[in-house]
Amino acid sequence: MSEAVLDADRLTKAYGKTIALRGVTLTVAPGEAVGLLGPNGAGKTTTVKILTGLVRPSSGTARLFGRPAGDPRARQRLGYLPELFRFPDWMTGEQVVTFHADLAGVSRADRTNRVAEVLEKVGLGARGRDRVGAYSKGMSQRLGLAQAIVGRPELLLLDEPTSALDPVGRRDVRELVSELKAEGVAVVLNSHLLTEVERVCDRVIVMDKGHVKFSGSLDELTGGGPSLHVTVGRVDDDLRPALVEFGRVTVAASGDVQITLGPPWDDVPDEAAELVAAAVTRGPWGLRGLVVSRASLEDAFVAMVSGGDR
Amino acid sequence: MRLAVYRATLGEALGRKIVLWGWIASVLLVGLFGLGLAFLFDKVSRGESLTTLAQRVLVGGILTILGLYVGSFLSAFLAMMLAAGSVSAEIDSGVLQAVVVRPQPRWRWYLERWFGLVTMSVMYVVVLTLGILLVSRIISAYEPSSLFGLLGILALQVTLLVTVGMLLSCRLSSVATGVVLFLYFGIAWLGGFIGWIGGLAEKPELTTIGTVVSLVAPSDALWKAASSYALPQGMSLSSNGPTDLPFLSTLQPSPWFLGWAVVLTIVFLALGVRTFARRDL
Repeated sequence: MSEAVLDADRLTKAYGKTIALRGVTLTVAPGEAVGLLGPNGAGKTTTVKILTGLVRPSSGTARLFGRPAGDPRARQRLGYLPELFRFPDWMTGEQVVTFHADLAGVSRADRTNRVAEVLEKVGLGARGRDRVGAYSKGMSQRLGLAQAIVGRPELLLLDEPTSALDPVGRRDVRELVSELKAEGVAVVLNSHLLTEVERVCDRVIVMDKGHVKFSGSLDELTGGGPSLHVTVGRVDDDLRPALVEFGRVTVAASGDVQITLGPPWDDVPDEAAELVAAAVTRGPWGLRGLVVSRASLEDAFVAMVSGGDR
Repeated sequence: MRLAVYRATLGEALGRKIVLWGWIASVLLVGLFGLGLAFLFDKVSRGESLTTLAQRVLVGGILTILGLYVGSFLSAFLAMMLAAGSVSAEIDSGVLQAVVVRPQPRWRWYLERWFGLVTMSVMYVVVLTLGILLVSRIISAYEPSSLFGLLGILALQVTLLVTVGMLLSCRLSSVATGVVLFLYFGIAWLGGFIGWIGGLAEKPELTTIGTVVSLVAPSDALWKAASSYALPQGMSLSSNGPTDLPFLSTLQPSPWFLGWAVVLTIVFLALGVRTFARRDL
């Protein structure tokens, strides 16, 4: 495996008596898209701020591309969209991105084309010469994305990038992130919008109360894949105990019986499939319903976290 | 070296309302000063009073010093207003976070911003001072004893205030910075006044208080040093009568004091860089 683009080891952070992080360890590989989830107060933003060198950890280490996060050279290949950001109202969108291109070290020869390219990419091509003060919230967020990618980063940290966007804007951001991922850019997406994370990320990290509670694929978080729900009119008593060995058998208020296999349902043995088939053929109305579903990320997330600052 | 932050700071300062009002106030000040001086010298030319050259120089000098005093206050006020939110407002608004994660050390952002604010403040005090002196020269043939000494010390005064303001702004909110900075400026003035009273009443304790205050907060002492260069040659070396007034001094400043003010500014700047580099954003 190639070197991690981001590597945090046992990060802790205390603000006076308040402990924000309690030993956070995480890594991100090149080209990987990782969703950072957690309730308010979980420590996500503090983690991101430590990774960008904005905040110093109380203990532990954070490295980007093998260098300490506080080292400016480590940030050469980093793009960052802060959660709360604003740009000087007197600047035009083009000036903001040019300013960031200068800071990111984009060459003078390349700058004009690059600025126009990223503005086009985020959908602000026609509004680049307008003053930022006249931008809507969604446009400002698009501008934030433009400044984040103008330096051709290899690691992009996006803190709530779609919170102010309408559905079309969200889709645009998803497509942009997918495009960047395809180009080999690693993306860390800190978002409360779980559907965004579900659609874009390969892996999720769930934080709660300053800890990493989970790190793994979406399938792992949602319980290992889809389940099969078979609804029949009745299950004979001789079948029931055998079915229960492979799944769950529940009786609905209507009297229908639901047999649930999995997750994941495609791992169940053939014997279970035969039992379900027998239940379907023996029942008075045959098959009454057949659904393949998976637990939503939201369900899994809510079940996992304890409620943050609520 | 593109000095992107420096250029952005200048652009931002030029676009701020406080600067616009500063320029409007300076035009009003120069206009009012010119009008007052012109009326006075119109009377003189009609022979009502002040007929000798010495009297003309004296009255022109006093009025010019008063004009410069108000100009210096305006410049100091503008410098303090510019510096008050120079760091804290950038943090609170979220502008700074996207900027300092760029591959530059923090000290560079701080120094470029400082340099931008100092450029703006120095430009303002120089233009305003030259405006007042030009009007005074046209109407009353007034010549300061050292134009460069005057401008240099006034520039140092606003540089000091910008530097202290940025240092405070690293830790305090914009409003708190403005209040503390104004107190710092006020204490300097009060210290100067106490020192002057001490000299007049021959109370060395008061003079010592004034001196100590001028070492910690030298903005008022810097103005007095500048005023000594603003006086015409003959007046600045006068040995008769008081050498010091609450708003001017006829004694040229000691090089040690000026050196101290420069060192203090550098120390405040270094402290600001260090504070900003170490703070969480």
